[in-house]
Amino acid sequence: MDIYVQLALSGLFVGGIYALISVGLTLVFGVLRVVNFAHGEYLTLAMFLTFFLFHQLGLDPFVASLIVVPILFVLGLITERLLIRRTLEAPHVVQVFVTFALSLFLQNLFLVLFTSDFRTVRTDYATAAFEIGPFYISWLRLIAFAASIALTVALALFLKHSYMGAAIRATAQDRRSARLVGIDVDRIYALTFAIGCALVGAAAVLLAPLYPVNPYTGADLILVAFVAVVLGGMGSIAGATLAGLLIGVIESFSSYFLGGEMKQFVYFIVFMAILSLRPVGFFGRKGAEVMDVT
Amino acid sequence: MTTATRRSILPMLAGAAAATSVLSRPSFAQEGPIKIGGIFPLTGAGSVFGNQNFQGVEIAVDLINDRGGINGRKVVLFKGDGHTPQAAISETNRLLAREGVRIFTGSSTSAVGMVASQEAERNGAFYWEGMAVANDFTARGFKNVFRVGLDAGGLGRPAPLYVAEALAGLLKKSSKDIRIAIIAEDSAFGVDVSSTAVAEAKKLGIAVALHELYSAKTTDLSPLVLKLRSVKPDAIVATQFINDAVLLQRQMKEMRYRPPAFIGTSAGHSTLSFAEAIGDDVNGIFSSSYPNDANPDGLLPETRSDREEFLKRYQAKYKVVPAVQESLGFVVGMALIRDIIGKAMGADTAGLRDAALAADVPAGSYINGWGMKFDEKGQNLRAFGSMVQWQSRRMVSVYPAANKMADPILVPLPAWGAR
Repeated sequence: MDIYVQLALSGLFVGGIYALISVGLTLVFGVLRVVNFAHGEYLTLAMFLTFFLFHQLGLDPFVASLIVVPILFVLGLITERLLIRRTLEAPHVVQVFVTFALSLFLQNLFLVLFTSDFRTVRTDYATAAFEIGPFYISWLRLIAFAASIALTVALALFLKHSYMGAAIRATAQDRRSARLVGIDVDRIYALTFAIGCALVGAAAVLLAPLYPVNPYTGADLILVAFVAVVLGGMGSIAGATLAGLLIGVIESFSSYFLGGEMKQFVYFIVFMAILSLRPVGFFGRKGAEVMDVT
Repeated sequence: MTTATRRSILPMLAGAAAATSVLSRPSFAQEGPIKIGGIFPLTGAGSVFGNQNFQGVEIAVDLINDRGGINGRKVVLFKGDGHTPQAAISETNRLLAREGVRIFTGSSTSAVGMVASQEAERNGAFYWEGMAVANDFTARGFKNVFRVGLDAGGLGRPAPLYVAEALAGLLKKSSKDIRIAIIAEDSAFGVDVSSTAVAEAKKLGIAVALHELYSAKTTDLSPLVLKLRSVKPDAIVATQFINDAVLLQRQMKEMRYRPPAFIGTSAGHSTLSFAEAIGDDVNGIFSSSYPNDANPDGLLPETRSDREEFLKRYQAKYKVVPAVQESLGFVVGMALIRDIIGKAMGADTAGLRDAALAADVPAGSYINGWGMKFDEKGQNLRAFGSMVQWQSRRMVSVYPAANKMADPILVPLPAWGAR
């Protein structure tokens, strides 16, 4: 019995971080209808920023978040203004090319700037853990999980209860009607893209003390986020969170009982099974991938 | 591969090679410099090892040129950036066509080495491999492709051997009672190396309590740690890259699990990044690897002066102490230029091949303690892996005797934070 609880805990902790990465991606898709293939590279960038703030200035990753998250927010604004906005009215394939090209460009830029070495943020508390009965719980993983869930809930509350949140939701539902009722849709797009980048910045800060970073780290992690976004229902924050946690738990159990090399195989089987029964994912709306359908 | 199958493939290859060389390629020039093409990943994901290898070869070229070249002819090393297998193919062809290179060396990774050697063979050129370990590399029936470095078994076998010959005694057990867990990342590298470790353990009568693979891209190895904890091996033998090697150590520490001994089989455990990431907890961890340094007493007198030259030149040029990859590159370069090209003076690919098959260089002739004698498939039989241990955050050779610089310490492993 103990082993099941320990595996579930490990899975949930990792799943929390998957969820936070996925939430930014699904938010951007839900509002802008753009699949941002460079989302993972923003994660890599934020992890490198955290590493250099830690290494050069001695800033603890949690303190560094006060710098990293705003930087990612601003980078999001800039990217939206310079690249994404120009493609919004273009066919989907153009958006795919643009964000995919951005992803390749950033990966290679990181290679030139930072080389392909793995960099590790080594804090004194990186491996601190406590015991509850027979269970071992890593402080950092617990904090990362709690912060991921807290940020996701905060985002949901912001969308639900603030005026800006309502405007974002309105834009997501129908961009033309939103414009008709006086919402500055361009501003909403910029803000949403920036929030998506800031969220992945927060995920990076939480991930940096746990996991070494190199130019491909984001690309490796983003596959899981794409699965979570589709499984949860494209554009659904609750769906992405649930799917992120589920994938974490599936990975944990399948690597223990079937072997570590089987875990992707297992969650893709689950992914295909769920989509064949419910093609829109957990909380997706039918036709969400088509522009301006409500 | 048997001789029969080699024969069936060879006429085709030879035909293709003859056609291309007659049509467009200059034959091995008797005058002018000797041209060598180095196909390594110099940018991109594999560039750390690729550049280190290349730098080692370059030092060998410089040293030989400063000593007067090969019969008065200078050696020129051309760079080919094989950052992906596709790039390796086009770079090999570029050097063949544009520079008239007929001798190649490489490659740091098996993916690059496999295709670069295939292109060289197809064009009737000579190919000399250093670090690619895939077992298939020498099993393709190629005629002019040789590997002076280790195969996967060369990395995988020393770990169980060391457990049987040294660790069992230090853990106060007989090798019959000892149980090991063999874990590996699931690319061809991890699969090949760990399966030779399993085979060697079985041969030695060591019980393999767990043989488990996982993806190196994982963010969570705690299920594996739980499994290791329940299996309770006397030693863990792990084939890992850097990020997963670091992750495993950290998660073992988080979950308060500590095996009596931990042996990595490269690549992650033999890098400075590994030590930087886990700090003093690295002390006591073993890694089977290319020999990073040989005990000078085991080297031939002229090799001792090569070793001093290499260390001096490398540090003057790059301002750091050379590690495993750099010294391997130097060995690859010295073996190829001095002992193959030097012996086959002025010869074409076939002459180089004959020189390689005739080579009989005793152990201790290269700075890492190796010698050179090829089997019929083109694998160097006098290359061997060694065991290093992290002591005071430095890698120190502890096995075999020819390379031993210090006795092993910290067996069984002390608690986390007390190493």
